[in-house]
Amino acid sequence: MSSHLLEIRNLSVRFQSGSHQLTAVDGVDLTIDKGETLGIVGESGCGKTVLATSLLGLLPSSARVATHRLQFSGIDLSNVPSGGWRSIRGRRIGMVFQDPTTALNPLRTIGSQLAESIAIHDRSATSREIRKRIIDLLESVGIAGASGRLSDYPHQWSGGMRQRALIAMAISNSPDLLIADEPTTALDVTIQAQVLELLRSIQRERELAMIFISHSLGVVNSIADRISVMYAGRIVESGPCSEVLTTPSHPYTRALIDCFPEIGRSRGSLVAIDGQPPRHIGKIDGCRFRDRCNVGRDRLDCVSHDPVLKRAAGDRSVACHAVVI
Amino acid sequence: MSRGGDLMNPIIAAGSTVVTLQDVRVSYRSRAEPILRGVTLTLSAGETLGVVGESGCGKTTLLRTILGLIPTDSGVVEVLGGDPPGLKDGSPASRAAIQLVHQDPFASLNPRMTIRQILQAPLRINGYEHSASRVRELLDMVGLSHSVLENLPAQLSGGQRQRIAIARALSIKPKVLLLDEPVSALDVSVQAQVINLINDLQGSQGFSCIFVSHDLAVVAQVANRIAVMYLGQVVEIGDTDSVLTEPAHPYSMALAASVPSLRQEPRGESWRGLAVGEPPSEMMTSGCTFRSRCWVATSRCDVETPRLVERTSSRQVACHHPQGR
Repeated sequence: MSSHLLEIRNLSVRFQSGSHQLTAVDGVDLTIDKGETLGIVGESGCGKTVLATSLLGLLPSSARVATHRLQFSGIDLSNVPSGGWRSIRGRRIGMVFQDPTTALNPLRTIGSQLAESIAIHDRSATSREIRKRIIDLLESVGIAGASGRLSDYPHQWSGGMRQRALIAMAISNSPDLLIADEPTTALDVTIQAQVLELLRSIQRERELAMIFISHSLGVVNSIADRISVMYAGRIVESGPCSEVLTTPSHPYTRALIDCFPEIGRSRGSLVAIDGQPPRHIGKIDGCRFRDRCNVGRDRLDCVSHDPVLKRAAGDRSVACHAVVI
Repeated sequence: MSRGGDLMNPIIAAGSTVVTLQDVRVSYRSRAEPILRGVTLTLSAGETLGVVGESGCGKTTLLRTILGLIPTDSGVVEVLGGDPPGLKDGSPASRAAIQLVHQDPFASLNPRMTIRQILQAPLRINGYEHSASRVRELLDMVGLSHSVLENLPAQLSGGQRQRIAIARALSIKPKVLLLDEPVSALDVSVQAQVINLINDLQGSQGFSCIFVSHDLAVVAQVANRIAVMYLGQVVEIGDTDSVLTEPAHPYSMALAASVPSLRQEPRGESWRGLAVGEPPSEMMTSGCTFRSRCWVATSRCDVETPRLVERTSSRQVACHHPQGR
């Protein structure tokens, strides 16, 4: 029996679109333990969000999920009976999405939306208890004078405040795992720094496990213990965040670092990655990064064989023929 | 093409001023408070001025003012020695001399026109040669394959579309190129491609450029000088390196400290989180507008509005308590 809070082995998600089959997630392995933050980074369309939604049972009906193991805290997430998700989603697994504007109902007050998220999972709570819990929650996420603002509507709050309210909602039932999908992408940079600080402190205080998805290496660096780099539906490199970012193994990870704009980099020193990620992953021979790779473009094995994620020293793993482990 | 000037393309001496704003105020009828509250800045020939600030600080309004698309309440706007081109008045030549690239390449290109038609339109309207070979030259200039000529924008990726938008803006050889968050909608790898393209084109074509972004690290990759805006005012302006390494205005410091980084050591801990809260929802009528979020504000900041004054030969700051040397 595994001791991981979440263990995923060989997870694939495919979509049937007409006669085409599109692969969004292709054989992903990952684990996460209590109190640990895993950052998942990659470009748009690499499968980050599909991976997260597959853990929440929120995939559309056209999705086909195949996995060897999808175990969360003793529950098999690949086989949840209908109606079973209610006791998991929002209760054991909380989530925060990218856009704080569309995640709230514009016609209902912030207070009533938070109350609902508590009442659904705790039928015995009285409305007075719920109100007190909401006020405590909102104050813990940095909303000053929360008791006077419960009857506000979402449009009366700024984007940063709305995201704080959604974080409060996500942790309202003390989940074991928090999934945050680009939670700061829609925010201004100063507000982003504040929300990251908030998520860090909540994660520490509550010993939450967190999956933090972002397209930005810098944002992931500021919050994650471990990092998994995704490319075209696959994890291509994983390991402790500080090590992967200082000594990247996979050419894609290195390329992402080289094109990351950072204060202190001299003007014009960004190295762009040529081309774009493959849009539709059908059947692929060879490495899916090879068209953009400056290391293994002409190597025979990169053309003929799809590299698998191999263990390296120090809890690191990498999927690349050109890397000697 | 000869480097000599003609009537359509008078030579502008390097270092001369192409855009001047003097204490410019602009308000929208729908808002009680003005959006630009006394902006003063200049753009010299051949330079790139970066403008950074949070949402709602007036960055886009600044560009619209320079284009003459909105009337000013007061102040002087001078573009290439005359009034801003505007929509109704202003000759086609004066309008062609200043061009804009929008943030969203999904909205700025007509979805029903082919790439060939999109690139031919400004050439034809402005009396330039608009043959197929000229259009192919434009595609070469922005590094796109000729095979996209008969495609519709929907068939291109975001990065490719932004290249088309840049090619369209530069096709009629403007003196001034305005870029409004040109890479914000793009993935990091593609972002670096477009940033490098803008730098290369500026080097080869010599236009002057205003590059607006909320991301200080992106601006640092293109700009010779940086103007930091807060709530409709320029609070600091100076050479890129000096503003980034020794920001004097507390808001510039907070912006720089908020930018996500790949560095491993805790960076700027003393700055982090210092920009408390969010921009005030109601405008302050007197004193410094940043004081509600500032950590060095004193009673003087409540009453006396700081003016933009020279701090060093290459830097101006609007703060009663500038930081650093």
